[in-house]
Amino acid sequence: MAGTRTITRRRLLQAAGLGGLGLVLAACGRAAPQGGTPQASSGSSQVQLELWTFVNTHARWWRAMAEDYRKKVNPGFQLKVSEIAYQDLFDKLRIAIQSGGVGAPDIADVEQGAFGGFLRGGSPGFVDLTDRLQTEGYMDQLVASREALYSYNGKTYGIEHALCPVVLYYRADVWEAAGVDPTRFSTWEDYILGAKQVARSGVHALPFPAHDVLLRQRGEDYFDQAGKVKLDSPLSVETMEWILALKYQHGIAEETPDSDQAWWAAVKEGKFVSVVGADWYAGFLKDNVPELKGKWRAVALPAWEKGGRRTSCSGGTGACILDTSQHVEEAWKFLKHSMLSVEGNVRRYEMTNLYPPFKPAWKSPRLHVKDEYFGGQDLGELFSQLGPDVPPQYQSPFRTELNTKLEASMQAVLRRQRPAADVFKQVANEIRREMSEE
Amino acid sequence: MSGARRMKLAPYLFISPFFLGYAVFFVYPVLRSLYLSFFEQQGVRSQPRFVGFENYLQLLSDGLFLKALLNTTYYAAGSVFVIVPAALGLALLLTARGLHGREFFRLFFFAPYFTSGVVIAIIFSIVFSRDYGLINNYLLAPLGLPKVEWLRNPVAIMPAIILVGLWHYLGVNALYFLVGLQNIPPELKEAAVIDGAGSWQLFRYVTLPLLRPILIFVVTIAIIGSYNLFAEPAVLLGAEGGPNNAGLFMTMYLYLVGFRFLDFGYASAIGYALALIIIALTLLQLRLMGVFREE
Repeated sequence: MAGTRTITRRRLLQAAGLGGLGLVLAACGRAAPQGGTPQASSGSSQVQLELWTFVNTHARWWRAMAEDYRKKVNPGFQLKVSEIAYQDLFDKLRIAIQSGGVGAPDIADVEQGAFGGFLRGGSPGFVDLTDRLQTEGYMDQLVASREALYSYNGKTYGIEHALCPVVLYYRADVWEAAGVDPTRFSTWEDYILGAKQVARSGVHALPFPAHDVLLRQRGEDYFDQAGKVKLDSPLSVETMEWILALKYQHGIAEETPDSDQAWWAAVKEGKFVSVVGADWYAGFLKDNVPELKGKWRAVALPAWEKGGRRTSCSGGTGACILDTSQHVEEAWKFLKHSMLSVEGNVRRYEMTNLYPPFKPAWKSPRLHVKDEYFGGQDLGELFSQLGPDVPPQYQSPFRTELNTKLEASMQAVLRRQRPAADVFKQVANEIRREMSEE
Repeated sequence: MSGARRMKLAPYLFISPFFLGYAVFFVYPVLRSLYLSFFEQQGVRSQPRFVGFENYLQLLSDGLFLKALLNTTYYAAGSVFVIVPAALGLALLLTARGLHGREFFRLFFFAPYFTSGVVIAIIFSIVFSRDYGLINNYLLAPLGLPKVEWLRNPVAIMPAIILVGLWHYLGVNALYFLVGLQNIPPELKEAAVIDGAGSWQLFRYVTLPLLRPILIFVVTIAIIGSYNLFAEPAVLLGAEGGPNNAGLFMTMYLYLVGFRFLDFGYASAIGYALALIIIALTLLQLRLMGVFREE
């Protein structure tokens, strides 16, 4: 009796041990690279897609669009949306691509700053959407300069969520009290003159604007269309010198405080009364300084010369289809329904405050609402006016590396401990050397 | 025969889950990264190219790697010469006679250890703020001291990280010492007191020698922990380690090279260099403390 029980238990253990081994082997089996031949899926089939995103507002919108797609297109459609922290998402995505698609989603939101990393190596791991976008006419409906962020060597791998036009946000009450009307600025020269009326001890007209944002306003960027490093170009150095002059010559600008919390505290206290920011910055203001409701307004950026470009671009996120997906066709159909439709784009603006890069949506009255936070201003009108002028931002496999290296030296430049020309040249040359080694 | 073999097999199967997990998640990655460290591989889905010891040679002339090594060593020194002595001091205070609220203080100093490094870093990013931070406004200002840019001044960054380390690890190190102190037989101290030893002599010639095993353990753990530190500096300063890379630790550089610049081969070489440095320092430290000495 006792003996049989022992044997039974032993058998159980052996079975458990083998079962465990089986699991490990099964995991190894899955790790083998899967063939790159995605199967087309038919119209109303049972299909579950997985999507990764790093922002909760995006996740909400994706879920809403999936519901919409299920109702209108494919009742058998399921979308599993995972919210993953910003850097983790891209680390995990790269590992999944590297291992042949193990655990990879079908669709992923890839932030433009992280996209360059995927261009490094054999292939980015995303489906080339160029032909689909062109033959179905979507390329003309999207703001072309925005698609540059997800394009490389003539291939487009993603669809942009946001137009990201850069404008000047300002505290209407403060500027008005100083007798200055920012809506009448046409050039940065006008801005500096006006800002001198506003800046007092402890009150700065603005934090140092981002160098790359102003550089793009002037039509250049850290990389050009051919992927060459342009960080140390004369225009880039001159732009940096101009930014430094805002503080050291004109006395109207100051470094951004040392943490997000410190920055918003300073804004709340009225220590900074204007800021250069993209459309999404409107949402940041509402979330972080709700008590300043009604006091902020937005205007087009002052131009570098009369009649010049009145905007730039900053940020962005593209939706990409993984080329390891088994359901590429269904994913594409879903992206058309959500990313490339007027309804989808309008809903996204309503749910996430991201102004769409999809031009047919701009006329929708739902994109032109009076925003109480901005004193009843119609921000959508401003964004859509600036939309066609948004400059391109070119992608490079080395962008992350350049930004990481520049970031470490930027403070020394802003404090004039090292000349901008030297720092830019040094970082640019390091990146050029890296590029030549590959 | 078959039954006897089964009897022998069962225990191994019983312990196999751990070893299988260990093999898959530890042994394999360790060997794989050793293999990778002799290759150059840029980005995902690219073909690795054999480069021999080139990655290791490159480390010697890589300014950022040397900077990270220097920064990490700075922190390790702070850990051994600031955090460990402070923990010993705290342990002595906590064992002092007639201390009220002893249990409370033990918990008070130990509690930070339960918190994740990421959470601590987020809290300290507020504490260190120049204009709104706790330290500048409530510790330095009342003493008439100027504001310190803890996270922006390259000279202040490492002291700031050591301060975070002090807050995080003081309690747990003090706990080790506390155990050691409680294991010292009271009669030895009594005998020394009867022989006329003062409190310093008591500490120097009785307590400290008897604490040696604990001290060796704590210092070893402190060195290994220092060279593995990642979350606090990475969250406080960003993965590049803040202005002038003043807070770039070796683990952060490994992360940057591997996951941002996608050079897995070079990142593996950094990982192995890090492991070798930790082993060498630990052996040196054990030797200095006389672990290998014949008793």
